[in-house]
Amino acid sequence: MTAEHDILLDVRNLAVDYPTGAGVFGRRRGHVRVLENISLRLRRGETLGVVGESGCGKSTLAMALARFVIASHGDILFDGQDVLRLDAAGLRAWRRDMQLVFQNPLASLNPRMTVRTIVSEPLVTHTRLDRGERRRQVEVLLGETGLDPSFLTRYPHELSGGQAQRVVLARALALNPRLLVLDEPTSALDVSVQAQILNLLMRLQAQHNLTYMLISHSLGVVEHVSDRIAVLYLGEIVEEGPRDEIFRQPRHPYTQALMAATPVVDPSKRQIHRPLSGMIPGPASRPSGCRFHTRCPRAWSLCQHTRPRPQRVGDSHVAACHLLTP
Amino acid sequence: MSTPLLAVTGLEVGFPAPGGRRLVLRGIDFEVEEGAAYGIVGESGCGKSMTAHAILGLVPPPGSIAGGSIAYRGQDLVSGHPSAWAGLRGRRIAMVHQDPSAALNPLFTVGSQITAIMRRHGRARAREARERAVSLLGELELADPAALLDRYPHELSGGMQQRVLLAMALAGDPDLVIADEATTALDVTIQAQVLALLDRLRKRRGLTLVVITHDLGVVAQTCDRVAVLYLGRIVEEGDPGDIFLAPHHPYTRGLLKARPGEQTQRTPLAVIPGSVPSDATNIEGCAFRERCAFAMASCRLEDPAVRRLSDRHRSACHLESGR
Repeated sequence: MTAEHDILLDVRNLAVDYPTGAGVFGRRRGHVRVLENISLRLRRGETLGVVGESGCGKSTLAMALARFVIASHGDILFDGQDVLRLDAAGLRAWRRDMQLVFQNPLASLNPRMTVRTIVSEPLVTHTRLDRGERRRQVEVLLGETGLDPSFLTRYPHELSGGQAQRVVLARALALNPRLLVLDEPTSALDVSVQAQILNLLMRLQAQHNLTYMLISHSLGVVEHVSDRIAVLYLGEIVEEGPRDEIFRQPRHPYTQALMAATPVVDPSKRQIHRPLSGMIPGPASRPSGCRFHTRCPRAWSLCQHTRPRPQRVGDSHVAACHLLTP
Repeated sequence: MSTPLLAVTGLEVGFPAPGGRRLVLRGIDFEVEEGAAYGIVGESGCGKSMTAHAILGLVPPPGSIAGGSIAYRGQDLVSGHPSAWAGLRGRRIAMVHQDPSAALNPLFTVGSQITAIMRRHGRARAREARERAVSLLGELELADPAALLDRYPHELSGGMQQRVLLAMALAGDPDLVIADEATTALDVTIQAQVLALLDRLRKRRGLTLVVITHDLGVVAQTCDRVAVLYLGRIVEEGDPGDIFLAPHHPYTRGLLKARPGEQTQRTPLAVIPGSVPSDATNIEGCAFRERCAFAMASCRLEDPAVRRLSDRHRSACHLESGR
């Protein structure tokens, strides 16, 4: 078992609701549950990959960790500290320790600022470094992300997608964070550039002993960088475990379907002829019982009414499916 | 040999630029046999979508076709009268775009958008067109097609919108469908449904497909012929077995090695250094030379011509053999 002090982030039974329909005069009419019963643990220096399709709540999870959306239930413990009950000063420190990186790098850079201003902004807000110290620090950060000083005076529109994502990473590292939440960090990039950014992420992790939560729809990306993997479907974790076990022996039918649906480059293994049927239901129309039963090729009557509990299927591997009940 | 359905020869597309013209397609050659699925892969800016638009005669101005020919059933469209091209568009050659929410008109119902195409091309009456639209949506495996016709695009999920777009492409009963990143915006399980559907349509209707994508996996799973595009040229072409199992061109090899996945866990990925240049005009010799691990003196002197490696496999590289 993992020693308690190894755990950097401990998410327990987290739930998030979004209000539906603003109604007349902005009154809330109801709620949709977009994340339910999420429990995850991240050890120091490890990478947890979070995979799932649209509407599964991947990005909401990132937003809830940053406290950009309010959790309705559960706890988030960071190094033993309760993130959901931090005061203003504590929240400020938390947003220094934890940094978010999003999918579209150009959308997260201010088009009117130079690279120098962008990367030094967190230093201005959060530190007391003087101008000269900040300038030196910004150059160091750019160097670490593989950009030479000629980029300091450029504007975001002069950068390629890969260069822009390097600037975003330099800014994220400016305050020596301990946890990076990466939400689809390479999805907007071409394959050859994606490889460069993934290599950079792995190098930075080793150099700074960073802990990553990497959210992606791409099984290949998640398989490449993760130590552990959590699979989300409609707001719930359907399977979670060590990377190799998840890929070699996926236990949940949804995990199996995701793998079967991902096109492989070997033309002798054509596999996508029996895909999952049906559309992904929206969070407002989540099926009863097991959320996956409407699309599951192996669903039976129990699945329609009763929600499966997470079952331990390996040393540190859980899956929520009635088929796995002993 | 029979005449291929589509034969593109020496296709060049240029845009006016200071001091002359900048070519974004620099001599594209390929043939698509009737009933085949032809895949065109490449990264952004390599000219994939421009190729698709050129085939439809829809190069956006101020760009224009600067040379070469595009023959449909043996008849050249570039040198012919524009009306001949217009007569084929939507009727014989149709296109499915990447972003269905942008390709559908938000102000009209699904039904009116599909039947408008049928009435334009098939001269069908309103009721008949509606009946055909219902059966078409059913063929695309959409539940309750009659009710769907009265709905607006925003009421549909991405996967359903993409099927509606496919229905619009099929509404004119075309021979050739060009799918430009048609499944890129979809989730993988939905992408698998649409790819399987395209495959069934191809067999059932005898449709010919040109699949344009950045996703090597999609092409490996669906196509029986593959071209790899780099900076406006086909650098390698072959059967899927050639391209994916015995690639020759360093760019193809680099793309395949850069894919993260099972063989690469937590080790640095092989990287193609740099990024795709915005313009090939000023690069001497081979356009890939500056990013190529195998570049030699001859690569600077001479842009490699396309060489036949076997009957069905060709590559534009000076290297003797694949490694």
